[in-house]
Amino acid sequence: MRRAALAVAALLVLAALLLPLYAPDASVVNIGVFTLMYVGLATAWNIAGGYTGYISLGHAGFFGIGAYGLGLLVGHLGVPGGYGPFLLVPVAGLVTAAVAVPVGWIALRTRAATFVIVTIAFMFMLQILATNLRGLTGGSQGLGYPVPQGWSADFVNVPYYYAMLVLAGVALAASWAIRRSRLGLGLLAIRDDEDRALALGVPAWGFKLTAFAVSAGLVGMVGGVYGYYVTYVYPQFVIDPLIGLSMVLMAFLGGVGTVVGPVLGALLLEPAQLELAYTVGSAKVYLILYAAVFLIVILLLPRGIVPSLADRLERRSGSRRGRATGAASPDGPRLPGGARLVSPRGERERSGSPHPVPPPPRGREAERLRGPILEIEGLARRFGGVVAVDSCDLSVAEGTVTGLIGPNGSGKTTLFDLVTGFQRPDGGRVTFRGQPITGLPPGRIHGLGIGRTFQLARIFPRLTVLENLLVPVRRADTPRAREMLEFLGLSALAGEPAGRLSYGQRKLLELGALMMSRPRLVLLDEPAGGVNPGLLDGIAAAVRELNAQGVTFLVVEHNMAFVMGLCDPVVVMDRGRPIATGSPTQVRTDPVVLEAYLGA
Amino acid sequence: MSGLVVEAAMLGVLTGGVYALMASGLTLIFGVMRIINVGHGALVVLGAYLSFVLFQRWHVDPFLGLVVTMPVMFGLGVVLEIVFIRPLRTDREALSVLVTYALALGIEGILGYFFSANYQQLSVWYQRASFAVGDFHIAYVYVLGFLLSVAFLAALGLVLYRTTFGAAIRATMLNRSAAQLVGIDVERISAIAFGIGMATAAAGGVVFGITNAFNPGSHYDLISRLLTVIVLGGLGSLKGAIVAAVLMLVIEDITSVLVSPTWADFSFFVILVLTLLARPQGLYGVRARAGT
Repeated sequence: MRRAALAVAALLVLAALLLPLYAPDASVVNIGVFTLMYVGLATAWNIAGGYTGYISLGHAGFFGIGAYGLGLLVGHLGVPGGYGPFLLVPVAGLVTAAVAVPVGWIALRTRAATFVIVTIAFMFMLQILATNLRGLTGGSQGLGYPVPQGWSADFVNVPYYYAMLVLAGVALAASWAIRRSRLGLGLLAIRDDEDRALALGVPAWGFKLTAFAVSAGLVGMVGGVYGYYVTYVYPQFVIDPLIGLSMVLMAFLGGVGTVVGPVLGALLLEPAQLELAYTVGSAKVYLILYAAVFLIVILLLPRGIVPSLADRLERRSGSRRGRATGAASPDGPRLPGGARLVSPRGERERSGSPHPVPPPPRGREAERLRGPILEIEGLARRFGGVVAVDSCDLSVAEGTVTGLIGPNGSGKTTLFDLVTGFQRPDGGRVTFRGQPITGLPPGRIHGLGIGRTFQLARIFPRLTVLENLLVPVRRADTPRAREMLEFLGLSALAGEPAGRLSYGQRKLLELGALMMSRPRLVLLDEPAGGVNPGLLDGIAAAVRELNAQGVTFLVVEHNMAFVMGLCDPVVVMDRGRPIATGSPTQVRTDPVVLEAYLGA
Repeated sequence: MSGLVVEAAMLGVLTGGVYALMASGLTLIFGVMRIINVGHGALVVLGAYLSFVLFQRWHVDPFLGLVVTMPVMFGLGVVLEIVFIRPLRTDREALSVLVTYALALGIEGILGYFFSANYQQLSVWYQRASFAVGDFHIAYVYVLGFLLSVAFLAALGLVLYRTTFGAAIRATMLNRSAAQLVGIDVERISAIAFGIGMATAAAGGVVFGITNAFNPGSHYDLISRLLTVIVLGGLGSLKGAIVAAVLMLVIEDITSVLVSPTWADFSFFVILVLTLLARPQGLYGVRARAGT
């Protein structure tokens, strides 16, 4: 399978290299120029729009910057027509990437729908600028490139062809390298669930901006070669919404977010488009057909050809492997025999840390022996008139599994949000291991060693199970991630998209991903909620095992049997503040607690 | 000079009212369905052409013709929603942008097929008629368009805030799944909201068609303005759309007088950028809470 794909790719590259030598006439080379142009554009667009899910419809603006940029460079430097202008293409790309940084700075502050609109607005802004700044761009008169001298009519398209081929190759290499890097994994994680990616310490802002600038720079280089090829650049023809849309359509047709998808989309669509434009003649009929193809692709093949095909192939071979896979994936961790577990402690020892954590004392004894790992003082959060967390004081002793219970709406999840930086407190202080962390962003807090899970298990559904574990760490940590999967009993599912896991398995995976960055304190938000009872013991065992290795837990949970069996001490919250603390037995019999729960 | 500025400001308020009507449909659709209808501009142009046909063929006054064009556009909106938007299950917000963009291109192509790329205008007899207010002259058309927009916006407000059906729409805007849980048929609400959006596009199209020359490609210009308006106002906020539309058109018209008409369009986008730097969620938008 893999070998066949490589062979096809090699054949395609060879054909692309040889095409100009055997082309019957220049018009065929012309089709090649435009097809390769779109291979480059769609691939470059995909690096930003496909990997991150931030759909930009304004990439035609970067195309225009490249086309104008190279034209101005060539003009001002007095480079004559010939091979000279090609050498300046990378400069045009750098200029475009430099422009993309502030544009992305503004646009990436917004999400999804607003982002799309901002990119459209940016494109029209550039169109107006190109038209109005007549002194620089020639306005609607256009900007001219020098015409190459001495290239025969048969040969004249060939240099542009190879230039486009090189750029398409560069874009593809960049896309491939990014997909395999930590950057790429982070981008895909952002696409699936940006908030969780942030919580796991992915530097989302920098990653998005990098992808945006790289993508824009590549598009700008292609734009430069295009400008030189057509020799005259006009605002409405280079900053053309249709060019921006075509890259998106091609990426979607082939498979958005995949490496080869955009290439396939461009190879299929662009020659068809050129042929259509030539035969139909009428631009209007062309538009109607274009719209029809677009609608069909989005409605019938929303994920694109490559992923749909991969699915089908896998299903066919999967039906053979199916039974074995099913048997090898027990619905839960193989515990308590988690002997092979790579523990945070184990890793620290291996990395030669001078402070191996001794087996922690349990329960209230721990509280007495060690200082608090987390201290909350007077923390408050109001939503309008509703006080969710009300001058709350709480301290979590290191080495404990502290339970946090209370009626619905008593402020437990809000407290988690405040501690982990997802919400800013209206007042009060949070201290983690003696260090103030009040109001820090989620990524920073994660980096300091606090992890959290969410009420509804949050994973990255389109990443594989293994990749989910790698998001917070580096590719080099793959062996450790595999061991973690082993511990969680998810090894057999390592290559599956995480979206196919059962709910309980997702909770385990979420916890596993968290443990990868070795937090000191983990906040679990309803780990037992909605989980098949058979898996509850497994989750409790995993928590106990990790706790035995030195991780402190703070657990919000409604399942009393689960809390009473796992946690000590237990803190009871009501109306935004703790009303009782003690051992499970003490708490169960405390009249104040009974009143809060039963409203007596 | 200051007289010109005042005149420009008045004109800006009047045309801003019309943009408010068109943008209200767009922001309503976003609020209810969480989708951006990039085809809205094309549908305004379609509305203008429908009025144009009625006017050329049967000499129906464009404003009176709304009795016909608004229900037609409403029905078209319902059909478009059912056929093209409803099937989108995953990644609605992103894919809907592409689908409605494709719809815009399709409409542009179809209009181009029937009407050619030549510019048209709804040349009604009162197109240039104006009256004097102090030193200024104001065209009746703008006042008429403004009053019409205010009337429709008021009607929309009444439906939204005074009827059970309107409550269902607002509930859907606030929380789609919660609305579903209390028995609201959100699919039906979505189709109707899309229809209402199209009806406002038809009404906007008439005023647009009288005050501007238009061709099938005019929708690019329109949609970039309308989208800017609703982002500035805060996506899904009707109040925001109205305030932003008037604000932007006033600034645009004043820029046109003080700087030059070629930079008037640009002022739109400058305001957008400045707003996003200060308030990414727009004037009346609610900032999405992280982690929920």
